[in-house]
Amino acid sequence: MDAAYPDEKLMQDYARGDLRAFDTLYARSRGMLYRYILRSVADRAVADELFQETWSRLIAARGRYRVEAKFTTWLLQIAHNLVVDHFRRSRPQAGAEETETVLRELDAPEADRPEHALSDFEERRRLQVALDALPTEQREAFVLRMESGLGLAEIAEMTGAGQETVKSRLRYAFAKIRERLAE
Amino acid sequence: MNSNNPQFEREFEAFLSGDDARLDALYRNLPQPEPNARLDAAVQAMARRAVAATKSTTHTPTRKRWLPMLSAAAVVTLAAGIAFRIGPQLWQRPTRQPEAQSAAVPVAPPPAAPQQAEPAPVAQRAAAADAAGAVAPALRAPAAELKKVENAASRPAPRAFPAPARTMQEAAPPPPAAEAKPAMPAPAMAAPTRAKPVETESAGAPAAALAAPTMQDRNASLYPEHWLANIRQMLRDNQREEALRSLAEFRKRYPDYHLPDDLRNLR
Repeated sequence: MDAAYPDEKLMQDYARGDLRAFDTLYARSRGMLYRYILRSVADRAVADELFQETWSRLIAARGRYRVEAKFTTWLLQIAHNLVVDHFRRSRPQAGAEETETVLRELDAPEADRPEHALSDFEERRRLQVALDALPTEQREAFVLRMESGLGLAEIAEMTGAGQETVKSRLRYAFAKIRERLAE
Repeated sequence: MNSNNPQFEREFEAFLSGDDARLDALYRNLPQPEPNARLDAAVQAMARRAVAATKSTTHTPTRKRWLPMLSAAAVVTLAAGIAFRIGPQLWQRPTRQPEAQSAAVPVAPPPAAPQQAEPAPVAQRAAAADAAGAVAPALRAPAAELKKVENAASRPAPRAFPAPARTMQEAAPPPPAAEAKPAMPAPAMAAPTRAKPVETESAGAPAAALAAPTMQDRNASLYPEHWLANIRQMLRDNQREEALRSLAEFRKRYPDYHLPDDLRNLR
């Protein structure tokens, strides 16, 4: 499928029964969605469950999809609702021990230069710890900004918060991460 | 917080606009976890099942749309089959009568002057030798017969037969009034117009004389085979005159009918 073919058209094609369109759409979105969920819940089993449930809901609602809604926003909104439900059912945030466990489970890419491996690893670790230490709403806003490139207005629409609120969350998240990286 | 730090504000604005290359690179170097192959397969299987289910449900209405059409076609075919089997018996009478009437139309007098054409004696009409002479009263008969029926209905005197229903089959064949008249003396019937005999009958004609035309009506409304069976019954009942009159009427009404041997030479 042409890389320039927009996600929204692919979604419409799939709603009409085109399975190749779904495969393309899935290939484009799977990593971004999975990382958003995993970095939100910090639990691979829960992330797997929510990831599958997100696609299940998208498939069930494919007939109601309107091209006016940006596909990525729509997909992340479904995932966001599931993440929020998950936190409502459990404690709001992962602890430090759980964060370390997740970090160990995640596959780290190979370093390009061995002499920088330790410092790169240390920076990544600090960023990861800083992310996991953020309150849920701040972390979610930060991950949405970094992972899928959503702007203030899109994050606000997706999460149901005002743009100023989203900007405030991002400001706090950015400050804490900057502080942690400067240690 | 750092909200009053100009350095922080510049970095934050760069972050919001996607220009913070260092943070972006660091984030991209974080582990990039992805769903495993089992999860991919599960999601793609869900997508395929959903499409397959949609296709099967969209086919069902198509089949449902065809069902009423197939049912209607089956009903029409069945009805046509029944009509083909039974139809000839039902249509035998109506198809023969129009033939007789259409043959009579060219010689029929205008309906406006029925009484001027009437003066021919009833006895002569009963002879039915002349086809043209017989057709004219035959065409005029329904009005007179209808009048008779109306009079009979309003008459309190008992009748041998009830007034026949005015169905299409019964009303259409014009049983000639001549058949009712032979019961009366010829001289008394020569002069009056068509309306007069009705008055005569309603004034006190014998019940048998009233019954005769009713019997004729009944025979005329029957299928030919049943009519002939009634004629045979009359012969068996020693009502030879009635049988002959009925046979003569039958011959007029069905000139092309091939009579059975026992009736063909009956005179």
